[in-house]
Amino acid sequence: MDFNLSEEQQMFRDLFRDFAEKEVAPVAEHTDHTEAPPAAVLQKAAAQGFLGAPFPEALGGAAMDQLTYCLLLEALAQQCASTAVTVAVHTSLAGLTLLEAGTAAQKEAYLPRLAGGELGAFALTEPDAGSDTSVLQTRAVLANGGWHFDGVKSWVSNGGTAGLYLVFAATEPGKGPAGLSAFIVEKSAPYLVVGHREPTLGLRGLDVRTLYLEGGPLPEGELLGPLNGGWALAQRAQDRFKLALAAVSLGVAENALALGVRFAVERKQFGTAIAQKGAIQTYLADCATEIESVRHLVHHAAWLADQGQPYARAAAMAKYLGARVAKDTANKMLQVHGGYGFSDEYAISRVYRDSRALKIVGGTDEVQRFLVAQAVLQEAGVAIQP
Amino acid sequence: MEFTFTPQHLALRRMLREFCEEELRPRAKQLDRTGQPDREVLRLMGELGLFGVPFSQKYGGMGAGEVGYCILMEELNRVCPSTATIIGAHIGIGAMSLYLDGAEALKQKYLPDICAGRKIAAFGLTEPNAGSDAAGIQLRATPEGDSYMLDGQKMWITNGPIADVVMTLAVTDPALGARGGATVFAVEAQWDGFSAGKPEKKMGLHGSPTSLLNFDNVRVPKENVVGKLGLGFVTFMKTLDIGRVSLGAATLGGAQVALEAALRWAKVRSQFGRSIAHMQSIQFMLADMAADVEALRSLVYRTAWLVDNGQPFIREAGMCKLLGSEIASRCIDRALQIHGALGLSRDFHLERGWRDARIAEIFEGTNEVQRIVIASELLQEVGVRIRP
Amino acid sequence: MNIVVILRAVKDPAGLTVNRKAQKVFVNREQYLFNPSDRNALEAGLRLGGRVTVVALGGAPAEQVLRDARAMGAAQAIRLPDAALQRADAGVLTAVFSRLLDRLGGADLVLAGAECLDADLAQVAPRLAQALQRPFIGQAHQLSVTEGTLSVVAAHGRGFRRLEADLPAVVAVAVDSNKPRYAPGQNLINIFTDPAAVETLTAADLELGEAELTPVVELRGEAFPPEREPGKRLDGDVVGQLVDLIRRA
Repeated sequence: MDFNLSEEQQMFRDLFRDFAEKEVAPVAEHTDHTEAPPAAVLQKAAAQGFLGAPFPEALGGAAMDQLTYCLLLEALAQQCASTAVTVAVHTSLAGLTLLEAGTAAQKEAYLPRLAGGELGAFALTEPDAGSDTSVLQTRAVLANGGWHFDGVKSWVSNGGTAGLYLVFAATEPGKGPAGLSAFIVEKSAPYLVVGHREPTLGLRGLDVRTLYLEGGPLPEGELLGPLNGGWALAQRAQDRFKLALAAVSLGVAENALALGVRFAVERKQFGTAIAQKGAIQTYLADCATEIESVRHLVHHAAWLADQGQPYARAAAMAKYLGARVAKDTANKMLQVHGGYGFSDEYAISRVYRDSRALKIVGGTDEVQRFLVAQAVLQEAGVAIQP
Repeated sequence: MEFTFTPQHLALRRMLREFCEEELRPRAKQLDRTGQPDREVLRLMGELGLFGVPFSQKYGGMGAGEVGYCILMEELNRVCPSTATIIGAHIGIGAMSLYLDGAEALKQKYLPDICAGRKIAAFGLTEPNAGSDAAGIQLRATPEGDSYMLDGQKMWITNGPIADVVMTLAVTDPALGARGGATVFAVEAQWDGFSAGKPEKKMGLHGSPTSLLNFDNVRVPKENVVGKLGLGFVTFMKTLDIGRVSLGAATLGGAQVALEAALRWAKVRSQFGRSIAHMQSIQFMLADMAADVEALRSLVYRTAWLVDNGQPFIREAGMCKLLGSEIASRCIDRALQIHGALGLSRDFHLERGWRDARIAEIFEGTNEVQRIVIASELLQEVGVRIRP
Repeated sequence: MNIVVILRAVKDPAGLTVNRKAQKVFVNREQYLFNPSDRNALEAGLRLGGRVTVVALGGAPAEQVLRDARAMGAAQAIRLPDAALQRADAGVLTAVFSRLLDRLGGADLVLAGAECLDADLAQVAPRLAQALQRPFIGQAHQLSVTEGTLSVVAAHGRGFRRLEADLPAVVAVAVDSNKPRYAPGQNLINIFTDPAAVETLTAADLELGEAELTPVVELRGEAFPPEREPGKRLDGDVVGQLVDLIRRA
């Protein structure tokens, strides 16, 4: 076993941290306040190859492995969780799904665009299909040489800022998961209407939208992957996204801890820095320990993915624990800040709000725990349903 | 043992429930958005006597005791934590310090207006160098003829921008400091030299304005000394002790509404082909929330009963604040989790409740301080003295 | 001006579940409400500015409603607790209230809610008017009195009409016709503390005989109204189909 990052990974990590500190950190507050993703920073990230991090070089990417890509997300999240999730949606949900299932022509047409800074979005969730995406209401019907849509998608991240959308719809209604297909839809499509911008508690810089799909035609060739093969694509995309969110959670937790430590050292009460108080030390110790365990889960899951081994269960564990630790760490570090933690003048309140969203986006804690339990019980020969 | 509310208190709760649902709920979201207190609703609350609930009718109060006041805070916080916070700062600590220790003439001077809501009260303790550790008070009061001149600053004062009278702790004897050399003054906002800063930007409680207060040589007549000269710190600590009971009651309202929301949503939301109420992961969260709420309810009202019956309550009061703030945060967090993405939406009320609830673990003495206070009392009984 | 307002405590529908399949109404939580239109009637009476006496039949729920009414501003409250009156029909109630009014020395105006959340028979007020030989106005939204003449804006079809009547009169006040005041907290505390805030009178006090107390209406059973047919969803040329359906209707 070797727990060290490779030299290349270390070099990238330093590069990511440098970028995040110089470019992302200065606009993190602004991003939260204006509730808009930092367009200029994302363009700079694209120029550095960060928006196509795990794509092949031939398609405009930087050919990074999953672990290195996780280091990128972690570094971004250490400064701004909204920016990190924007990149995670773009890369893990949209880009890598295209890379996995696209035809050579589709990949050549779309991946360089994504790597070049045009954002990708992933339209799966619907008002009545949150954690349970087997019951999609959106329909796609092939008529007169094109696909025609009818349906509503909710909580679509990058929904208003993306150039390219992967849309999931029922092509054989009534067959549930076996009747779903994926499609590549351009923002310019007249039948794609960007709706309500969901105002959110945290991750305010993430552009979350309702999308309306009314009509067509989408050329037949814009079907992504096999007809009625959308369910499996969505599942694998969500596994990737879990790993990405686990890396984001890690970064958020590290950021919270760093803010807490800085405050504890500076703040004096009852004659000493509060860092000298046993109660505060307990908080710091607990958080640091939990963060390390998340780091190992994330790196291990990414390593499994890079080795081509099954990693879905590891990703679910990392996502679940990561989100929990991010939120608990932010909560404790806000407490360390006392009244200042409640003020918008200090970053910890933003980090705390951001961390809360992580326990819900990309599959709630309950869903992750179910998946882990399902895997555990499967080994004991028991099949369970949600 | 007797665990039922009196008919008076039940009637008060019925009225408050209806008032909060009809008048306050439609305004709560707007209060959060604009950060401006709603004068119209405050006026209505004044007419109903809600600004003087625990105080004797002799001073124009409602005469509903600490139990009645806890009912008010629970019901207000169930619907609008910002409004509950305005009332909490006004009654629970602001006016309470005057009510507990003020001279009769001073009480007659201010309490009738305070109880009717014609004057809003605030509690001026915290300073840049005095938070949980109140010993670092620097605001000076210097005698001059039959007055004192107050000079200095207070910060994080709830109701600061809207207060008409601020109970202000100032140092009258620097040699003694907080212990024996600090005095409370009733300071009117209209007096020369007094000014309030801009409302702070906060994560939650947007509708409850908090600000800096500047005292630039404010002349305060001697009759406006609240309680005994030099013993202001004692008055304020006593006030905070009793304030923690109603603060616990407020957190109870937050926890209660979270449970109600979670139950409603669990019933109507379907995933994987059935209502999520049938999923044990949801059921267990609901059961834990209900157990939390019930435990807190018992603690809060028992402590309020101790107050009304003249029995010692300080340790229990600290527990109300400590347990209450953590239970409320936990329950609201669980309700949010049960709602999934909807819980995160600012179009829905839980997100606001989640932001609003968090401060209760911090203000009026952080929960760490509460733990220290409770532990020091416990340890004192076995002969151990501790320092924070 | 003496005003008498008849109040009722009714079961809170929020505590009930109606199960059509089982043909039953389940009581999840037994709690009582101040009948909504009765509160509007009380508010209307208080706004007229006379001396308001409130009356209600029953036990603890009625007591609560009467005390709430006193806290809102009613000067006197009378409760009729007789168990025998629990089964009273509109005829018996008419007899009870007219005798009560005699005992109170009459009233210039009797107000009641126009509808009741439970049985909703809406009979008592008009029958009382009949028995007392006084004018009756139903579904009142606004009331005013000038020099012994009552002027009322009352719902009529889809609109309103203005009616006038000589006092004394009986008026049924429409639900939601005004916004009832909240009882000030101090009143609530004082009224609910005062043991004498509500007087009680028995049927015997009112010298009501057996015959007057015997209902002529007998409850033989309860059943759900027939279920409504489900609506039909139109697809395609909706307007055309609608026109066609209306023509055929």
